[in-house]
Amino acid sequence: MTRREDSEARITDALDAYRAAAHAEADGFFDDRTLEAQRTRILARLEQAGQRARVLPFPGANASVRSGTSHPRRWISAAAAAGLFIGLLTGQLLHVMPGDNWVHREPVRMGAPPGSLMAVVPAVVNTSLDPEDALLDAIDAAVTRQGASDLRAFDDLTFSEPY
Amino acid sequence: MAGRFATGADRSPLTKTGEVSASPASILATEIKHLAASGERDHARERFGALVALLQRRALRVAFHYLRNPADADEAVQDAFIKVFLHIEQYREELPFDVWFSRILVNASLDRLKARSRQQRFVAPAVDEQDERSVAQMPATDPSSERRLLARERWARVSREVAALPDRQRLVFTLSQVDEQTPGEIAAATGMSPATVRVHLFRALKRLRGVLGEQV
Repeated sequence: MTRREDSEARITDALDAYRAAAHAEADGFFDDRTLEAQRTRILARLEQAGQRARVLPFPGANASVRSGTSHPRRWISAAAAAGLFIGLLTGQLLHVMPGDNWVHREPVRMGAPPGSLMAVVPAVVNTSLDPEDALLDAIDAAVTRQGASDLRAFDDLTFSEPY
Repeated sequence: MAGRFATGADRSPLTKTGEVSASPASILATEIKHLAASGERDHARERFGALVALLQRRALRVAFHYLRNPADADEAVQDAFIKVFLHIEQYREELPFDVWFSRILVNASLDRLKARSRQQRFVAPAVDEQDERSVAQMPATDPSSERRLLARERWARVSREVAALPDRQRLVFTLSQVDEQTPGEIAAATGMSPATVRVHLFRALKRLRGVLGEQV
């Protein structure tokens, strides 16, 4: 065996001895009970990591701190929301569909004295027509009536050509 | 130094055909990964206990000899296992789990080392307390009390020399000697190139040659 081989063999033996001693030293600190305890801690930490955070009640407060998602509260909230929604929906429907099928409207009473502006509106309005058409008809009727001469003064002011 | 780079018995051993067979840890990790992916977290956690039991001692040896503190080693190993479970879905099954785990363990140990150095800025270190404890923990395989005492003294000297190595040399030396990892495995675990690993190992052995020579 050469001197170099001898030196390498000595180092190899020394490293083997180092390894054995290093393992023994570490195992002296971490025996089987320590390993078991560490395993338990690791699994406990993992279990905690998988759980949601909880709200702890303040000590001494007998009325327990309840989350806002208990059953009665949830039903009350749902009922209130449903009521609001139905109310809004009904209001919208009444606005969009104001026909006879929904509301019975009383005819416009023309109790105003003759000669006043209210008198130009016919007493009976055909409610079967579209509201806009009915309004235009009423305007035509009013313009063509003799009693509408009171409006001529306004026409003269607003139109450049004679009406 | 044939045994120095030998692969550990519980890591991917070579088969007769030269293929790398999956280690028990890799098989278990793959099973846990599939359980976690299918939403069976509780079952996965149960199986993870078996994986911890399989690797725990090895991990503690490495962490302890790198950090030279049992409490820090305990924390680093715990943190490493927690990280493994929380990121198990990132584990690539075609690669050895042991290498992936070693990398996570090295990072956890480095984090612990940084945390300790931050603490030591404000707290005065205990003088040689660790060395005294190391001597006391030296295994007593020799029946002769005189030889045992001598062996303890030598062990204390070796421990001090190893602890005095620069960080990277100490890490490479620990993974190589305590955990019996190959330069390739150390490279994968530390992010260094295999050539750099060999250089650090060579320098560490050169520095330790004197004190190691006294051991035999």
